[in-house]
Amino acid sequence: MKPKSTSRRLLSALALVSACLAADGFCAEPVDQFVQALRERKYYDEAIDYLALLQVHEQLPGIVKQRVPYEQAETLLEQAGGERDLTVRGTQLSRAAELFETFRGSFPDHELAGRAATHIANILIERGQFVVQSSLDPDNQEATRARAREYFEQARQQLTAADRKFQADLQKMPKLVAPTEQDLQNRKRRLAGDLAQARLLSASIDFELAKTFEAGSAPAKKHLQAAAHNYSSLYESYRTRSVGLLARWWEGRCYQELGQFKQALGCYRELIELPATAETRAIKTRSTLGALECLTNDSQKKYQEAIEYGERWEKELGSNQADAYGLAIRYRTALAYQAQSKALPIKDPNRKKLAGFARQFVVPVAQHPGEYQRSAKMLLVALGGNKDPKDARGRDVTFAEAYEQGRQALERMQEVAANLAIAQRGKDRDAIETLEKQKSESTAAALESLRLALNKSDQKTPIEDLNSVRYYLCFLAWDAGQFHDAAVLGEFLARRYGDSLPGRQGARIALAAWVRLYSDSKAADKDFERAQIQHIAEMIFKRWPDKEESDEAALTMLNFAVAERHFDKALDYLDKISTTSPRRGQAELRAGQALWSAYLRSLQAPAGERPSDEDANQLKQHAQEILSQGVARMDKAGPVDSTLAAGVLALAQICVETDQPQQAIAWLENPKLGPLTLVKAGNPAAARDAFATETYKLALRAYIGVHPQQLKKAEEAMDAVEKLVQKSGDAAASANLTAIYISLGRELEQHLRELRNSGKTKELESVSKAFEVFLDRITKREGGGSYASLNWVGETYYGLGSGFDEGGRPLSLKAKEYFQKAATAYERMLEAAQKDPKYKDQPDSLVGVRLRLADCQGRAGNFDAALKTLVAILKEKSVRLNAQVQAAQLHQARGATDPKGYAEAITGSSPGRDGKNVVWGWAKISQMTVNRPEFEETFHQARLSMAEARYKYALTQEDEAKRKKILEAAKQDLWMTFKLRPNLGGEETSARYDQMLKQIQKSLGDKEAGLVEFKERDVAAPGT
Amino acid sequence: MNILSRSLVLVVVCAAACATALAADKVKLLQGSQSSGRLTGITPVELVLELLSNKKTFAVNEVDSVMFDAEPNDLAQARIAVRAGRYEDAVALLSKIDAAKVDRSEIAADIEFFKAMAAARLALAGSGSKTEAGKKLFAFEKAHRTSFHYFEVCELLGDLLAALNKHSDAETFYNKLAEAPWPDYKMRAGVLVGRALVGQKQFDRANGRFDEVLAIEGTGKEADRQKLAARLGKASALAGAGKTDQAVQLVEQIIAEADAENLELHARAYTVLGNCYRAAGKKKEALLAFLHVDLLYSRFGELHAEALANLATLWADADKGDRAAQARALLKEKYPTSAWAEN
Repeated sequence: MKPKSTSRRLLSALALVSACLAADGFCAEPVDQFVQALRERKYYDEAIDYLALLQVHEQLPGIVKQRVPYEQAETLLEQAGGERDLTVRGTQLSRAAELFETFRGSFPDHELAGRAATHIANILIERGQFVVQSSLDPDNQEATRARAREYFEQARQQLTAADRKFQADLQKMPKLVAPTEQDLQNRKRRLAGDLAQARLLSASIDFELAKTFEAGSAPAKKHLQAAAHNYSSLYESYRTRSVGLLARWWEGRCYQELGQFKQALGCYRELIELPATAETRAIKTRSTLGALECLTNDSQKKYQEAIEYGERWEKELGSNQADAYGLAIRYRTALAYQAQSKALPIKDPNRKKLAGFARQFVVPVAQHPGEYQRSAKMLLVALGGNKDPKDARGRDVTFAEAYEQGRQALERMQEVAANLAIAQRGKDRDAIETLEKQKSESTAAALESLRLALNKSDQKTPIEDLNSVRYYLCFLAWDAGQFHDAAVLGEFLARRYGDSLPGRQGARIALAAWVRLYSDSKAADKDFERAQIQHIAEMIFKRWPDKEESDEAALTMLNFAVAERHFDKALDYLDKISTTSPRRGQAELRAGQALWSAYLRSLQAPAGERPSDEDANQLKQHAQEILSQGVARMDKAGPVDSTLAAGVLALAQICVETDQPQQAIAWLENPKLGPLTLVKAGNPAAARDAFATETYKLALRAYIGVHPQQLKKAEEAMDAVEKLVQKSGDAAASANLTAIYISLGRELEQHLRELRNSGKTKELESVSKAFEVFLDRITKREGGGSYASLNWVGETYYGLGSGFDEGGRPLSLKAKEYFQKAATAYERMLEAAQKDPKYKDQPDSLVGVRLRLADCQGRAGNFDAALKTLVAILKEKSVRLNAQVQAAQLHQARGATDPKGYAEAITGSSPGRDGKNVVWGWAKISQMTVNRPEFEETFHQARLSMAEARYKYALTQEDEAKRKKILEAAKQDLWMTFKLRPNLGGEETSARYDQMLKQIQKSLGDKEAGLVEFKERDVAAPGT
Repeated sequence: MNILSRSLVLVVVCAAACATALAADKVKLLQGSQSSGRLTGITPVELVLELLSNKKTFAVNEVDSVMFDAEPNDLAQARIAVRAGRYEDAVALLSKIDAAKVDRSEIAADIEFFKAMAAARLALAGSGSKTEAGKKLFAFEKAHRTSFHYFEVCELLGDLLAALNKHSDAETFYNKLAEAPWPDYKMRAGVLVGRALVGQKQFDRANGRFDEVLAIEGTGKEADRQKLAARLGKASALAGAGKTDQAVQLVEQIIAEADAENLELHARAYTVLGNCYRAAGKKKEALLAFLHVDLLYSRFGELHAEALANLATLWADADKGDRAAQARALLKEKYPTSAWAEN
């Protein structure tokens, strides 16, 4: 769009409409001519506004109103044709496609419906081409190509529809039209032309598809052959028409791409032989070029024939023709002459003569800007033949020569880089090594030449060339990972030459380089890098507020803010991205996912730091809103990519966590975007690691949580996840599966905790019940559960039990029931493991499960069984500190019903053969960890628990003197710890000591001074 | 003698006369025009060209080049090479000239000048001995005080001495340059003297000289350039006096105002900026400043050498040992005779 305010545009459009209405009345309004006139003057915005106003005007006949979206779309199409900014062009084309679709949808029988479909197909083809051409990331190449293929296939569908429509319309017309019926004749001719165009475009689909595969690969060949066949058929149908001739040329092009030069030359020769007229000029020129490309190919080397074609074209059509084709023909002819010249002996006089002819052909190419200009200049240098070689220190080398050498080295480097990417994908080590060496050599050569060029520049050097040198150096620095250099050069170009392309590209590289420097820095202080990022981004926002660079910078800053968890800033940056920007959807998905992660993290925050329920709900709601917008936008933008897929998955997660399983299922199963759909179809958008498992995990929860339950689907999801993990062939597949189930259990546990914390008892029971039904079904299913699925059952029951654990209060019967079921699952797991040699040989790997079993047994109130399980573990190895801690905790928990448990928690239990207690108790645990800094946390846990055990034991004593004595002992425990570790393990632990001490002081009837008492005592008598 | 023979004699005589008239000294002006005749007056400030009875006087500051009648072709080629910055080629061309065959003293002086000048430029760019080049220039200055190259020689001598850290001696020659009658020369000399004073750590005096330059009334591109250079000089004097914050502010202002393609000024500005930041202990900022010189303005040998020497330390401070080593290696390779490479 031109930078013109909407209000101004509307006013001018209103003025136009009013003027027309006032003049003749609306029915007489020459809409077509007027719109055409506006388009011709390039007043596209005004034309679109004018059309929009017509649509709502009551006096306008319906037949004209119908065409408004079509005309608007055509206007946009024309506008896009002249737009150089690819982002703006993309937006215009998307809008045009939408309008054509609207038109087709509303009036499928309209005579222009077929043309609308052809236009849509054209836009889709361009999108596909853009996707293929702009794909720079070799890791994402396959996904990108797949996206392009989708576009092309969609285009094919549109063209098939267009073909049908044109044929149907033609069939409605009389076969013979009387010459007097001029209008009907014109309409028929136009329809036939539209049909031919659609067919030509349709034949091009396979040609485009071929380009989405590796050149020379079987699928590429298959598509090229199909395209050649289609073009050939088209040629046969339209032999004498320009469509037919074009089809013949394309047929030749397909053969050329296939390396079938003989067939290609057959097509081209036929076209070259056409009589020279104004109509055939273009096709003859293109065919001559095609023929020259074939003849000068290294596998052909038919230089004489190439020269003949080149000379013939020059004579017949070449005068004053300096377009791209003409220049290319001359360049190729010059190459052919040069090759002929070089083939002759040095002393042969014809050698010089042929070189002279080559020069004649190449001079005009070197003088005209274009694709071949630089190569032509180099060819001229080569044809000179007697120039002194360039000095290594740069003597005699001009800016232009150094620049050219640098460019060529850069091109070589990029070519090698592309081959390297292919070799890396194919894991061809030898090729990788060779290509890496070549890349490094080309890079070094490019750097040397470009630096030399920079030093050879002077005031006469064109600033565009000089800035190109600077930009190439900037790019090379970026490519080599020299981010400081890239940032300096990029910022220089952006700041000094912001209106030029290198300036804009420089700004992008500078920003990206600083982001890399920030993320690569291992320093604690990254303020400098942060400030640089901010500085460049602000410069971009200020300099190019409406450009792609600004959107990209905002997206970068948004990612940056998200990484730093500055969500408000992230949303500010989101606001900077235009709603029409192709990055907007991506940014919304990123921001939405970040807000959602922030919400999830907030749930795990300590009580004091957790946001209020209102704030948390707002965060959640905001996340959902932004994600929904992003998904809607990205859905419209085209095929699904990994970002969109991740966004939909996050939306489904929100639905599950907010008790909307039905909605979650709708997202998961969405026929186009649904993560389950994508995973099942093997869509590259779902190829990211863990995407499939996360999808199935979520599906499992949704199917279980929905009313009525979809248990069959839940089981299928469970089977799918197991198959997926096993299919990976990973040696650690079983462990992975276990980890997946454990994480699923944890997610459920957290969900239940949230429901409990927010007082949603009904939902808490409903979710728990739903899972219970499913878990029972899994436990009872034929063949029993696998080790991993039993683990999941155990973990999930554990999660359900924990969800009912209200912390501090005695466990409810429901919770105990769940812990018992969990224990049963773990026991079955251990039985299964007994039979599995893998676990038999590695008993240590089952210790975690046995500890979990003991925990469940203890929580279910079965202390003896729990102790037995723990003692068995400790008898194998008494120094398992986590088992010792768990055993001491078990005794301490038992103390609530049997005070003896408190004593055993401190002193230990279960004497072994040597008379020493197998279970150490807190006292020994603290002794064993006191001098081990790595167990500092356990030491403090033991000291605190010991004091707590004494304190609780004291409270059970009826004899006051005895109670006081025990309380004093508890206090003494804390005092000793204070003397031993004055900082008491840090702020958090110290607070816990303080709280414990205050409780003891209170029970003793002392002042509740907490640690202040110890500090004062220490000052008064430091040695005690 | 018949008529035909007489006519032939007349033609021959005319041709000889015309040949004499055509063979002449040429003065090419900076603005592009060229005049021919016989150079009859040469002083550091003006050239007098006589053609028949016509006398033309040219101010030396407006002269681009002077070509002498019947000068050796290699001298003409060397002159072109020098103007294009190809000093090594110039040296090679000048060495081919047989001095014994040159009988006109102005031509001999011109050859001597270009030899000394090319050697000095090469030395300043890091290849060749500054002392040897200085000796040649000094000899020329002593022997040809009336040469039209005189002021250029004084400036070059000052530059060489400054590069050798002999700022006091450099000041002497820059002061000679200041004797030129033209405001642009006076401004340039003022800036150079100021820099020499900064080199001697006489920051107040330096500041005074820069202020004098700023007070000179001059307009046009060159005057603007010199005023920016004087402000930059003030910044380096401020930095030298420990007022780094003020200095940084001033340099950044100059960088923002200067024409992007005023490369030498930028090279100097970033060097001053780098030094200011280093003095203030801001290593990351200093690294960026010197990196500008390395990447964008490396053609200014002495400044590039200074940047590389600083970068060698600053990269090491930034835990980039490989870059530090590269900077050091490049410094030694490209500027082996620079004082910066000796540290």
